[in-house]
Amino acid sequence: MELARYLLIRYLTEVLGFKLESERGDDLALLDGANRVSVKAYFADIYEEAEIYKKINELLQQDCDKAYIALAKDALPLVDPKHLKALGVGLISVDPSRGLEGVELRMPARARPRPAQQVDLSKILGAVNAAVAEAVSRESKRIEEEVFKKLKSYVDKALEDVRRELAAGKAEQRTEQRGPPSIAENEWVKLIRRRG
Amino acid sequence: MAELSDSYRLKYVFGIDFGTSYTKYGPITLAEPNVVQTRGLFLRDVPESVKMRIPPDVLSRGLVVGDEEVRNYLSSVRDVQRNMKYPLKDGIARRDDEDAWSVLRELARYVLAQFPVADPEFKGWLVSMALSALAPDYMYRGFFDILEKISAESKSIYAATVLPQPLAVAIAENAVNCVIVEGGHGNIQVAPISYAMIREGLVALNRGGAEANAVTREVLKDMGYGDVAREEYVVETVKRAVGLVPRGLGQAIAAARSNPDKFTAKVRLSPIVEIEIPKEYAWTRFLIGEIVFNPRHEEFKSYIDQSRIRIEDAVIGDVTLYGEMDLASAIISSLRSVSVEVQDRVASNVILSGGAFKWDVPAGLEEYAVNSVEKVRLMLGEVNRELAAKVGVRLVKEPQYSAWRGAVIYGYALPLSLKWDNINKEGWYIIGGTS
Repeated sequence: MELARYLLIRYLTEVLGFKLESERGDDLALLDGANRVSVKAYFADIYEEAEIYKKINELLQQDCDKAYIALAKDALPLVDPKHLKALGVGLISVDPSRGLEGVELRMPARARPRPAQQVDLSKILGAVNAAVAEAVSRESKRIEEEVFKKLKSYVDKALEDVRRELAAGKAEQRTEQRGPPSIAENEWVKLIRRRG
Repeated sequence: MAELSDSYRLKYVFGIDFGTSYTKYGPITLAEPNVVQTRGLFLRDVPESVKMRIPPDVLSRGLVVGDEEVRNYLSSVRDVQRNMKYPLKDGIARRDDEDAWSVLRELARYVLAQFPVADPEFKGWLVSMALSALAPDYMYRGFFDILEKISAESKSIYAATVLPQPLAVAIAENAVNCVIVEGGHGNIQVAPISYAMIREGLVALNRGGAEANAVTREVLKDMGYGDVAREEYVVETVKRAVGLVPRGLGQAIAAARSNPDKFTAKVRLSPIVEIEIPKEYAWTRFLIGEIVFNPRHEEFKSYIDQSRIRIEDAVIGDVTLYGEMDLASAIISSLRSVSVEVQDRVASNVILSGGAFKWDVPAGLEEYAVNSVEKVRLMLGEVNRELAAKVGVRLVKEPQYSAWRGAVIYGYALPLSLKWDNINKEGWYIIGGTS
């Protein structure tokens, strides 16, 4: 099985031009330009259909732009190509007996939204939304405060004017009450004024 | 000297009424004047530790005036009796009493400082002062000198004038023909007025509210309240609460002796001190009011003789203050100096003013007690029935403030072109001028 895996890696890197990033178990992580490609290399002496679909399912959970499942040629009859097509998962078959030529791209993978990216996006969107909301709320508060300040100063000024007018009115009234009427009507005022 | 406009005078005439107990002061714009006790406290005998806490400017003057200020320093001065100075006695400050003049100077400075002015058009106050009608010439000069000194420091006075208190009352009452009877604490001045005060007709009595207080004090001692009778406040309160002016002293005393229950009274001075006028002393309530009006009454005279009250004549300058002359005789004597032609007009308007005429009639005692207006009318009727029929007697509307109000009206009306004249005692003394 090691040979099949070896041939697969060579095919991916030499024929398709991917760059191998890491290997972990039967998972290969490669880079196709800026895209991340995940390849599940499942080679066994005896295949079980259920096991194949389990592997495909695992592949779908991975964070990548394209996903391939690589199987031995013997396992091909167990895979439903329509199902793979619907999922957008590519299929590579390996026949170790034929060397590098025995590696064939049976079905190309379709570029798919990365699950991890989806989470990030929502987070980013959430963060952006929160930031926007915060900015809007901050801005609205600022505007509200500014409007309140302007209104307050306007109302205060208006009140002050009214007060001043009232005070002036009262003072005038007082002067009128205490001054001219009570004093002007006083006989002594005319009398004393004549002494000048 | 340029005449100041009416609108300026309506803002910057400053009235000061120098009373024996209280000085009433303030600009013409006030509805009611400010009041301060006519007294000052000399900061002598002050312990060194206390001196440290007194502001240097106060300490350098060595004297404080103003009710609040005096109270603040009372506890700092060891001998309050000696250092508290009441500068006016019967409205007069003695010429050689330097302490009295110091207090008056400080008082004048104090009252003017209460009203700082920031108006750029302000040229100085026109100060109009009301003094006792008995005030001698040197007092006029003394007050002008005081204002000169104050203005030299603050440039706050433009000119000053003085008018006698009875004339001020007549002006406040808008009465050009009248007899003003000003009953103060120390004396009663009766002044006839016909377009001016007739100085020849001024009759002064050497008694007033103080004598009513003296009788109250004697009565309290007789009743066994000698300890509280030492406090002037107690005596004043009891006088106001129980003192009565009798319709006729003889009948009132007889009624109080025959039915004393009706005339007993209680005065609560504080939550723990109450004074009760017992039955056997109920009749003495009438003596308290009577002394102001007629101390010559027989029943009354006998009481005075056995007590320590002495009512004697006194002389101030060229005026004799009669001790025992009754009020009706004083009014008639005063009227005699008025031209016969206007006597009726002057007599028809007798105006009572001052605290010595503030007496109430308690409900139920109307048969025996009267108010001051009624008392004067009755007394005049006893002396001259014909005159009494023509006389109209009334109390001033504002007993406490009328002299101040008259002073500001006088200050408003008196033309600045009329310079101060020492003979007529009229006109403006221009501060910083050559008057």
